[in-house]
Amino acid sequence: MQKINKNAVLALLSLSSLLFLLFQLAYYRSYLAHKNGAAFSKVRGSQSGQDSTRWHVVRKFLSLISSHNIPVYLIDPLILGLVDKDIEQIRSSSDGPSPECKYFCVPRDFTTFALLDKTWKHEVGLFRTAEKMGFQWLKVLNKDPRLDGMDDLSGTEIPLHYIFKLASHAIHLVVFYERSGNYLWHGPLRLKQHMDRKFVPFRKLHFGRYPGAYEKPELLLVSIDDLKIQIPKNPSSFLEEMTHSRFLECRYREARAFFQLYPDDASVDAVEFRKRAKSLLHLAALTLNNLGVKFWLSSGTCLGWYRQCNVIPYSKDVDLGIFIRDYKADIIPAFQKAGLPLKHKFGKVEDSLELSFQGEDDVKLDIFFFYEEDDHIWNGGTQAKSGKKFKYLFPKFTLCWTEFVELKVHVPCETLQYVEANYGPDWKVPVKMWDWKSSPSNVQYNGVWPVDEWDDVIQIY
Amino acid sequence: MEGKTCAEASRRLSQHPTGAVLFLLVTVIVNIKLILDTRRAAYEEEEESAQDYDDELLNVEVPRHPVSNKKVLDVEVYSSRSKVYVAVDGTTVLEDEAREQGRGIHVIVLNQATGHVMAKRVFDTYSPHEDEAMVLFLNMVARGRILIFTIKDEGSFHLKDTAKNVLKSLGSQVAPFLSWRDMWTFVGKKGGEVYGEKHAKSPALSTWGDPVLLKTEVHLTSVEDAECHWPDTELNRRRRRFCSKVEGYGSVCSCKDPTPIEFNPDPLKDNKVFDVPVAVIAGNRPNYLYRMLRSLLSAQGVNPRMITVFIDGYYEEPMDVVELFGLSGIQHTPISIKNARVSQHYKASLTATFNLFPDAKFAVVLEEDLDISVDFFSFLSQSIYLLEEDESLYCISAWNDQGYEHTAEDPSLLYRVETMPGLGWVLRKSLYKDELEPKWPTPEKLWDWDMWMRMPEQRKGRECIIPDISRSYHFGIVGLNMNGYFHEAYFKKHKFNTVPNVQLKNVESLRKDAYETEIHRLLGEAEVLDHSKNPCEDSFVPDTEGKVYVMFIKMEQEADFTTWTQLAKCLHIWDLDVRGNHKGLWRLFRKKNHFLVVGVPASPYSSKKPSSVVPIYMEPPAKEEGAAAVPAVAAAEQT
Repeated sequence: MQKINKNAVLALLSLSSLLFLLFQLAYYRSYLAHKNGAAFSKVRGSQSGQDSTRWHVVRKFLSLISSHNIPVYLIDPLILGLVDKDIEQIRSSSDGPSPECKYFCVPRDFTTFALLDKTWKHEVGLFRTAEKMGFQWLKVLNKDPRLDGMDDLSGTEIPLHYIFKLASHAIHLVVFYERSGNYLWHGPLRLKQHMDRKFVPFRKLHFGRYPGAYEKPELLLVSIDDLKIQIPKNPSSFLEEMTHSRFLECRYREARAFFQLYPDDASVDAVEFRKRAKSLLHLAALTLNNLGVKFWLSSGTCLGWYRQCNVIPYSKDVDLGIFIRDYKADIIPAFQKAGLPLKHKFGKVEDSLELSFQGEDDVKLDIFFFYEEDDHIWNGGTQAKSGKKFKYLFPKFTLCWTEFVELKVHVPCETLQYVEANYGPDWKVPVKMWDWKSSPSNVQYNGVWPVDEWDDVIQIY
Repeated sequence: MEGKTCAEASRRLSQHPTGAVLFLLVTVIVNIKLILDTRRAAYEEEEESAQDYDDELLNVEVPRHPVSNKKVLDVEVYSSRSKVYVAVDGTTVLEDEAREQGRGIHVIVLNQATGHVMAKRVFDTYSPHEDEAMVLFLNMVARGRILIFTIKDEGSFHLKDTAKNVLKSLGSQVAPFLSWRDMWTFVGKKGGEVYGEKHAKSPALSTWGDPVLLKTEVHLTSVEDAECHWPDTELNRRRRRFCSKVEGYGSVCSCKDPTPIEFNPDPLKDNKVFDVPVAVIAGNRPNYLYRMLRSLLSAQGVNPRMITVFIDGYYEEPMDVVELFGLSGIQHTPISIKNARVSQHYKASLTATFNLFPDAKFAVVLEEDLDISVDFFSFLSQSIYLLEEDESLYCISAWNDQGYEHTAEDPSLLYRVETMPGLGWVLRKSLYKDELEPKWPTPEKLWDWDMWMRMPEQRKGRECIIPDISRSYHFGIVGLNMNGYFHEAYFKKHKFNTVPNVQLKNVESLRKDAYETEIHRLLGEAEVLDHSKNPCEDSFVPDTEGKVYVMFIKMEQEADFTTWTQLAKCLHIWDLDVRGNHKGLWRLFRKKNHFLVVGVPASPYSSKKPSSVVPIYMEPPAKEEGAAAVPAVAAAEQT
């Protein structure tokens, strides 16, 4: 009896153990599936089915938006990368059916499209139609940065991102807004508290980690995998643009606080200087952009942007930075052609190059060339009368876009470190007496130019 | 897998039962722990995956108070000589103890389902006509709403029988007998029960009734009962949201036959201003804004997408109005005071407009107290190219300062004037961005923005184009620089175009040089009036139609407007400062004849004066009457 009981108990326990085992296995599976997004299984088992699903979802989405007259264009980096390889063929090919699904079937979690806000009227009814077609959708709103400024304005939140999910695929629709400075802007994707964090694997999105700035693209209507679709005319340049599109908003709130402490100079002279500095900056940007030379706001101009979102009225000049690797010999003639004669040239391409151009009415344009080392970046300075050399050291930085005086320009993304390196921890306090040889906190004495080189490295006009 | 090996081992161990049981138990525990671990890991990973995308302001959105299920509201209403207040469920919704203001009957409308305040008004029924406004308002309130009345100081002097009867029909027993300096409170449902009424009679003419405090309870109804049953459309959803929040907009919230909130006026052919942003500058006058937006959205060629309403302050009701019409609204945290505040609001609004529409070359600037003519956009569409091409232009304005019922005649006629009329105008972006914005008066300078824009430093000799018959109508009575008297005198009789699709005449002749040719042509054709007659008399101008007449007045130098001001006064047109002039010439209509006034010798057109004619000189009145009051009184007489 006892033995039977024991056996029975044992059998029972074994069975329960087995059950646990199975349960655990099942749970682990479901966990794995979940980890990859429930609907985004990485399992290749049913590849063809999965592939055509993606194509079908894209097709459905395109019919949804065309039924509501919403003009979108493709900005998906993965697909544009593939398209770019065959761009000649795609451009020339007619509407004939394509033999295989070459682009829209490639494995991926999302397909990304762009929408220009101003080309679109109302969203009324779009979501209801989307739901009827089986889409689940998510809308991400946030405040309108175009209202940011010296005034405290608040408007209705604007849509920045839409996500439409169907079966195992999702469409990410990024809304682009036109901004002052003739560029397009898209916002960051930030989820509000009530939103479903598991709606899609947000980490894998190609747009939305940061806000971004882009040129207005020229579009091309093409037929890809039997789908008629608008794409940027030059996909490779769009993809290149995408890699460094991060945008920084000016810190208007801090700038307002700054002006509370140090009221703005509204004198006629200040107004006039700002006007001239603005037009000089516009001219310089136009000239350098035409040459394809990447530049950023440096020194006082950068400080003005970062601290007060405006030109510092007593700064007397406009300062730009350029990496020496981007130096082009045509820079000087191009500026001269634009009506900005060379005022002086210090240093040489190999060392401490600095150019100065004479703008209208006594406003000077200074261009400093930056040299990259392993752990820092520096630019040089030269004292004309003594031939003394100076070196200004900066921690390494990357470039971001921003908007300044109605212009889309670069600034160092790590602006605070950049400004602090240059102006020290007290950069928030205006200093009107500034000596470029001693005031900067990152200046180092760097010897003297050999006298026989002076004619070359110290040119004053 | 761990679990599997454990199970196999346990089977082998079956000969040693106690050990086996123990082992099995351990297996079970290990299994459970594994499951829990996996679960936690999975959870953590998900959390992490969305982290980058979390809104930094996670805790800003505090969940709203759950709608209380309370069925009864406690209402307290206080009426006295110097103070009134109303508290609903312990929350003060009205408190007024300021001196010298808030006299009369205060009315509060509550939503019968939620208890929210939907409207707050005060009618100074001590003064004439305010009781009519109150009746109008009470008639607009939907049936079923809860009405709360209380008197501050005095509310009966001009409370006429009509108004008393309306109050009686609401259930008030006291209203018909309300008299001088009585204190009174009343709470009732429109078209329904009375929740309470208290009254204190004034014992004598020189004293007030004792303060009264009414405490009562109001029973709330269900939300469904408080709302209309409109068909479920996007438009009606907006309407429903609006109508459950505010009161006093009349038929827009009517259950049976609501007035439309979408107008779909005819589009304009070849509309040159379809993509021009329209900035509506507003304060806290939601009823005005409502009227203004209705007329704007009814104008032919309007593009609602380009309209932005800029509200000076965090006022809810104007925003509700904006949302009712499906437009976009922006609130501006006020800085500075009075005129400077308006001026800063203008600047913020214009800057934001050009930020929101970076492609725009122009912006239309409107105010909340304007009616917009049906051909407003057609007028602009035909003339805007001049603003683009003619550097000597400062603006295009829809308003003619001198365009009164008796002085404006031709809807197709345009003028060039040296003054900037405002009240519906077009601003060039380059003018704003390059000239005005950088030196806009700072808050501490208490300047009117329009006065500042009219200063020679800004205007720099440039002119504005205006129509003979205005394309906007200024209906605002309550405003910073406005009162009923002033409005009666200077705005009420302004002519306003109601004819659609007016084809403007000879727009090309408005260019700088062409306009001179045109003026010389006009003066050449004009008949010189009899200068021996009194120009103020009607008989000064012959009883003809469609002729051109000219008169010459004395104007010693460019800034000598002595005679002009007197003439303007007797013609009952704008005389508070000089408006509508072009090189010492004014153009208007009298008795349907074009009537030109030339200032001699300052005006270059003086050469057209026949040598025999002596320019008329009119003396300003003696000063002792109180200089400031004179023009307003004189002009008021016309009405």
